[in-house]
Amino acid sequence: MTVALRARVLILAALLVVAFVGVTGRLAWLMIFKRAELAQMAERQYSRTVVLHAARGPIVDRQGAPLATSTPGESLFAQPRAVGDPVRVAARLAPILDVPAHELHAALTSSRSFIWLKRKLPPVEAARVRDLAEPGLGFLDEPLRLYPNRELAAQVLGFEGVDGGLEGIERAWNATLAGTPGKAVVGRDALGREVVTQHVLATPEPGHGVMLTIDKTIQYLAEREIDAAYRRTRSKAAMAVVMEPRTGDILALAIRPTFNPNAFSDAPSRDAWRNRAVTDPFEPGSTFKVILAAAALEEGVVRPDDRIYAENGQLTIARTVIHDWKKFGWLTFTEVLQNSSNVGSMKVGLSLGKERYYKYMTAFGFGAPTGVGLTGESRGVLRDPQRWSALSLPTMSIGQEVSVTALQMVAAFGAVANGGTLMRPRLVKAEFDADGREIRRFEPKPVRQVVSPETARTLSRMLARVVEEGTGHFAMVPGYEVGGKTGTAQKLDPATRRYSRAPGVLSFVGFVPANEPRLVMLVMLDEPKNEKWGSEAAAPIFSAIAGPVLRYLEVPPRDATPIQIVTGGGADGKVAGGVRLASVATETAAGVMPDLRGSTLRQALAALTPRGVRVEIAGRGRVVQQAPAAGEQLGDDAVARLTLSPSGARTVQWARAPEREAVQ
Amino acid sequence: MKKPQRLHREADPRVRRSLGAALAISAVLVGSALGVVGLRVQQVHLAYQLDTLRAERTRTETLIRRLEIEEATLRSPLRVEQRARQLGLTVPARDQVHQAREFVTGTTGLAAAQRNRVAAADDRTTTR
Repeated sequence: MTVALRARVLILAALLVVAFVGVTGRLAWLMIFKRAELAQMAERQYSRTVVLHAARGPIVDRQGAPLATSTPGESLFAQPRAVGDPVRVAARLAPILDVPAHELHAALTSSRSFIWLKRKLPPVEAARVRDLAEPGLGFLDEPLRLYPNRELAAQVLGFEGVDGGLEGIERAWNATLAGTPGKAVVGRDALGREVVTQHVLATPEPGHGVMLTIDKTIQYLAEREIDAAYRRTRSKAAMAVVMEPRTGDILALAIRPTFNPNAFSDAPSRDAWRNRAVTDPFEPGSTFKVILAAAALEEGVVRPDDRIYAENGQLTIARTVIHDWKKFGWLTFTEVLQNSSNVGSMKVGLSLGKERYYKYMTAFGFGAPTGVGLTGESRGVLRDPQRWSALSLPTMSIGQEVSVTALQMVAAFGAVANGGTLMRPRLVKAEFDADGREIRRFEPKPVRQVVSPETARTLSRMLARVVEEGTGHFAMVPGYEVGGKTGTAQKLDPATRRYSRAPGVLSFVGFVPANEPRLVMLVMLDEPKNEKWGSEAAAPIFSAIAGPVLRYLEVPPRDATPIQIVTGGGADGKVAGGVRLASVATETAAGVMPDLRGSTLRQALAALTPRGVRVEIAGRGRVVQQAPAAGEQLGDDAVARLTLSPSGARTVQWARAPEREAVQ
Repeated sequence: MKKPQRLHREADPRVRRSLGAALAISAVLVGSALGVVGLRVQQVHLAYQLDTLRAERTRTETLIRRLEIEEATLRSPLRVEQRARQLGLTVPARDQVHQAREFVTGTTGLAAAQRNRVAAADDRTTTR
């Protein structure tokens, strides 16, 4: 090889080495030193981070029926710079979104690069907007909260806004219901479409569900009657609170005016959102005499039969004349309560003394929140005895100068109905996870024993007299013994600083059945326009609600003789012959067993009940055998044993053993 | 004058082996590269399928959720009462409602009590 050739080869080799070193160096620079930055840039190009929305937990009633639930929804946004003709787009969107066109136009001509037009659209609206195919509009997934029963228990449930629960349970339990949103990096293709979830940075935790103590059916029954009364009396507000005294469970909380939580912003006034049963204290009036009576009986200040002179309906205390609604002379303490005598009650209050009365008022839970777990709960107004005037004790004895919430009042009456034990009102029964498994249960919580069971029993009997013979007459529920007290309270007129003559708060608080209460209920009308007395306005509403609720709860009336039904077996062998499908021979003389074969259970019971016969039934369907036989005499303690089989069955194969037990 | 001769090169077996090895390696590399590309294409394809299935699942879940809501709406007490009234149903009168006390044979109740009495009598007879 010549020298020149060798030189050229060397130069080429050197150049190659330099080039190789250069490339290697550049690679090292990019791959080692700039790695993180470039990797991030690349990731931005082929992937993006998205928020994974957590499903909000449902709210269900005590039977598991949904009261609030979530469904996937979408929120509409605009990128104003990409919108073609804002005037046209606003005009097309306005009727779909039910938003004024000028507001949409203002949003679409905004200088911002991204703006929400409407959050959480129902699926139908979203589909209609999508059909417009307008550039510059887009959707992002956001769950939509729905309340399938509309106004039912609206103030209890509250509602959810863009940033979570805003009122009621939705607000108080927001942390539990909301869950935790997640985050994920998703790959996208050249068109920007999401391809596959590459990396979940944080898994979304669905919200937990909440089971309330509210019963949807009882709530409906209460709302139906309250709504009718609210309209009829043209009241400012009306409410009913139904509680189970043994557990403190709130079964219904019906309030008017109300709103539809699916469209909460359409409510005529924000007042409709408020849960007045916990936020609004009121002067209870005569219903508060029950608290006085409990304290006086427990302290032995007075006994039910002690006689009190009612001063012919007029008493002057601290230069103030207090009147009764009627001129009463001598009354027993039971009659004082029965007739709601102010004078009699004041005298008992004065005998009790302010310290002892105050002690019982606080023991019954007045002057402190009940702890039901709703936001904005009022403690009511109960001043310290040191700040009482000379008139305070007598007026507090008749439920003035003290303010209570409806829930406090129901809880206090619940204590009387529950043998003297005050229960904490319970609105949330349990919390459950996304799979429906119960993860936390809230047991009934006794607060304290306020009065002895004996005092509670005595007072219950006195309150039953109030309904049977006194002012609470209209609260009677046929077949059940009701105990309760009416209340007619005036409101302070801010102008005159005196009690107004106009109707203020008309109420009835009671429990039923009086001997073994299953329900305690408050009914209240606030400033009704055409009613004057709690006894005439509120007590009938109590009756109208309690009747169907007791039937729904299968509480037997006191005068009912239960029919004994034996189930689980039938006759052995075969029932020979055809089954006659006939109407019951009710023409049979009384005291004689009719021929019931072929009749339905309903027909058989209709025929036997007037005869005062105890009935035992085996099986289902139509009567195929009966004992005694048709035409036999029925004695005083006669038992009619009927064997039924499914309709149309001509021959029935029965199980062996139980037949003897059931039919013999 | 000598006859011009063609240059004849002997095939070097080492070169041939190297060439063969290089070709084989190249084939493996190309094959691997094609395999990787194929897998990637398959991955993207599967990702689209997964995406479709996921969307389908979401749609189904949404449908179930909507049906549940519809069911809850249909079961609303107000609607049930209105429908019942349309069908001519009324609230039963007091005398139309009978209270029943149910006894289940074999465990407790009248039938079981009677059977137990019989069994007790039998026992006494046996003991005597």
